[in-house]
Amino acid sequence: MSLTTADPFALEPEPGRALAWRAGARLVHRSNIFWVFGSLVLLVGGVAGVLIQVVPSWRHLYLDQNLISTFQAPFSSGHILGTDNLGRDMFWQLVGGLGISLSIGVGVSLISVVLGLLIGIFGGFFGQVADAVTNVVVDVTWAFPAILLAVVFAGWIGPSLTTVILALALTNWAGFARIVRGEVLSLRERDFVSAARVLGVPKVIISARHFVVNLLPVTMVMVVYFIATSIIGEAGLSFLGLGVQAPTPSLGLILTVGRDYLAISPWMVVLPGVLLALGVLFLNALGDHLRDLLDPFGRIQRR
Amino acid sequence: MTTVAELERVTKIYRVRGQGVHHVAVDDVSFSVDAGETLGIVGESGSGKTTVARMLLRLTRPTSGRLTIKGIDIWAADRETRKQLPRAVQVVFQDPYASLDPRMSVGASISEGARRVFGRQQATRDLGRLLDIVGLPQRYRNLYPRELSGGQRQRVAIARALAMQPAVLVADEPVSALDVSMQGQVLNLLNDLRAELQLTCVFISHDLGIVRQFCERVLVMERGKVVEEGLPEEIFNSPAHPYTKSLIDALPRMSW
Amino acid sequence: MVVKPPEPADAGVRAPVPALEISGLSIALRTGRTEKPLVTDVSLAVESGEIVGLVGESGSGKSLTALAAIGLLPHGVEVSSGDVRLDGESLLSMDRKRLRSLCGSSISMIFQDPLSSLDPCARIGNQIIETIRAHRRVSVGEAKRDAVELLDRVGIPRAKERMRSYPYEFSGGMRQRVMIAAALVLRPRVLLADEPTTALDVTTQAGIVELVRELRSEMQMSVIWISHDLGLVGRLADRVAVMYAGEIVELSPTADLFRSSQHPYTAGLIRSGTRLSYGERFGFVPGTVTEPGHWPEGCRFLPRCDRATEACASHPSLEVRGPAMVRCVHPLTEGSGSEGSGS
Repeated sequence: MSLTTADPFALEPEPGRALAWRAGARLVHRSNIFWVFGSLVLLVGGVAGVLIQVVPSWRHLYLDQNLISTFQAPFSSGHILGTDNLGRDMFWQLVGGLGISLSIGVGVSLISVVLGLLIGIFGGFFGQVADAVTNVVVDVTWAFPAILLAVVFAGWIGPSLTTVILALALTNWAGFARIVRGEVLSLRERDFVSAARVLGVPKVIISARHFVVNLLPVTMVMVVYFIATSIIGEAGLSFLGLGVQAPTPSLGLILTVGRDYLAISPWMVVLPGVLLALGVLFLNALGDHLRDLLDPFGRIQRR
Repeated sequence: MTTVAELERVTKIYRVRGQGVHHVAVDDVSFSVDAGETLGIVGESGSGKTTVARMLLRLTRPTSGRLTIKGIDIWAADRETRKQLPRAVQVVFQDPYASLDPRMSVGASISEGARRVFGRQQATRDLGRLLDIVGLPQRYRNLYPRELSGGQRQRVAIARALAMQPAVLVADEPVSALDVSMQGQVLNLLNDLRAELQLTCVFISHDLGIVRQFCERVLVMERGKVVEEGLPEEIFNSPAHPYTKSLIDALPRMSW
Repeated sequence: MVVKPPEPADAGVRAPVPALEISGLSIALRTGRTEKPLVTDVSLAVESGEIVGLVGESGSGKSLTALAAIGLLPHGVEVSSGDVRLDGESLLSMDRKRLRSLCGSSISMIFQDPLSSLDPCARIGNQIIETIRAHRRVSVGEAKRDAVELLDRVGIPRAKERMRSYPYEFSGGMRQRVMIAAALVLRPRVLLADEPTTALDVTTQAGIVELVRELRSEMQMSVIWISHDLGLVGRLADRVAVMYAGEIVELSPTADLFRSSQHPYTAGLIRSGTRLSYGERFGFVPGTVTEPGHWPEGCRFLPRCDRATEACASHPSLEVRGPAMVRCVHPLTEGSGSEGSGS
């Protein structure tokens, strides 16, 4: 008889209603304050970053140029993190960039996850032909470099937010599809799936009702990892000029511009660099933490 | 008596690709089950009894042979006809910890199939009645499997099967994974249900003792073949096949 | 509190030290600051050459008791009190080095799944030889001879050739015999067997049981055989200890246990396992096992007992009744309490 199962969804014997809320609450409860606080900071920063670009009366915060006071150091002349090459406030530029990064991160992550689930389940559950076809598609996509796709899209529709999201999402899903397929291969042998088939439940419904739900822990962890990788991806593409264009703030853009002015002021390189590093580090660690809570048996590997 | 289920010369061979190795799981098995009858299939691991069950449930494809339930050739039937199968045959599996989706509530599990066939409202109404039939309190419908014991989960599995009002119930080692002190509860429940609902039952087990007490007719399987068939008492008192004899000899003694 | 079967009245001679003595053993699961008891106050003495069956269902704590003796408790599970003594020497307070030297040579254990206790990547011959040479200074040749001899004794045909085989090349029953050989090659005084035949076919089981019985006589070895199968244990053991919810509820010579069991749970187990003719009701024990952590203060079997009275609200202790020890205020051999009839 098993003694303990480190299953955060495991509740004491009481009537279980709204299981998802309790599970979420339990996750938060079992995480120490660092994770909760850090996630909140990122969330607030990201939302703020989006808001200042969307709300017209706030756009001045990161757009106002002041060609007299360019390259100010942090904590000077009323700008808490200094100014950039055009005198724009660095703090709000970074916040805006964070908003862009997280938006792209979440967007790519969700698309990857949905595509990965659909295709992974299709390959794993709908027959040998489906599996063979899926495997070929997954292998080709997996090997395809995102940068190449970004160049193609940049040439086709021009560099932009959309380009970045498409390029990253369309290459990213393959890794997750592989994981999903592996999980489905073992899930489909479980008795409750056999029972559902005998009950006459169509395969599509079984996929949605049994597979997706049981794959949620894996999915949640991968979402966090994907946000991290997408942030780096976006920064990289924008750094190369293939991603978002000015005046949309982007950490990669600030880096690439700052590179030219390194002799004058290091802050345009250091600040976004540090923010990127910390953010991605935190997200990766958060993913690990979630994985410890949700997948103690190590089925998920960080790429 | 009407024949409800029949296997004609059914065989299942597993081939390992490229190695020429093959394993005969079920070897030319034929038998039939009459309406209202409980047929026991006894065998140990590797006997093929579970494979027979899976072929009857349309989960594993036979290599050759015919399987019919209520006259329908289940493997040759077209899509439309196949839709009738969930109301013809249902299953209770061995492992109560694996046969229920841990993320589905008890009520949702029980009505999972019935909802599609009888409609959501009817299924919800039936849910209350089913919980009563299997002896579970009504409030259990909102609980999750992890909050139930093994015996209680088996009751849920039985309720789920019965929700479809099947003609045949296939029970694959339904109590083997339960504590001995609780096996009797589930067995007595099955006993009462089959009488009340006039179920035809295919009862698979490795325990000849249980099969003798529960089944009207017994098949003994060894390594894919049926080696003996007959009434439990006859088989017990005068086993024809040496394998049957060894099964009987190995039964635990409880009396001194 | 050390509990042993009652000694003969004229025991002027000092009774020999039992081969394995478990006294007042309590085991608990420790998570953070909370402690959940899993086994409470188990005492059991196994004499030299005796086979004691330890029977229980899920939650009884039978496996943990054995694992504690040999120092193999899983992470987070600890002995909270009590002791286990091998030939008088405490196993729980000795240092790891000494314990390691005793494991395999004086006390050994076999498990339910031989595939996980044998190294799948090593030939079985090498594994056995390794075990021998870890404890004794003998040459490879001598160790090899011992290994072959024992493999032959446990019934492996063509033992010398099969030394070069890997575990997966054996069937379940054969693998179990290999594990037995590996466990017994150093002639330990005590063998702990944790459900070794549960995963095997009934026909194979009988062979293993026979083998252990023979080896017990040949080697004067003591055995604790853990199982959920009372019938199986009945064929093998000299004495049986029945465990329920972390404690021993009945300890009795085998024949007495079956002929006149005293604890209602034991009777219930026997009833549940007894097979009758077609159409008869199956015996069972009503209710379900209470999980560790939810045990009541009084008798832990109370929720499922039809002989319960107010007297059962206080936790009964293990008492001598005839040839057996029973933990019950209303054992079956007496009349019941103030009301109700015997089952």
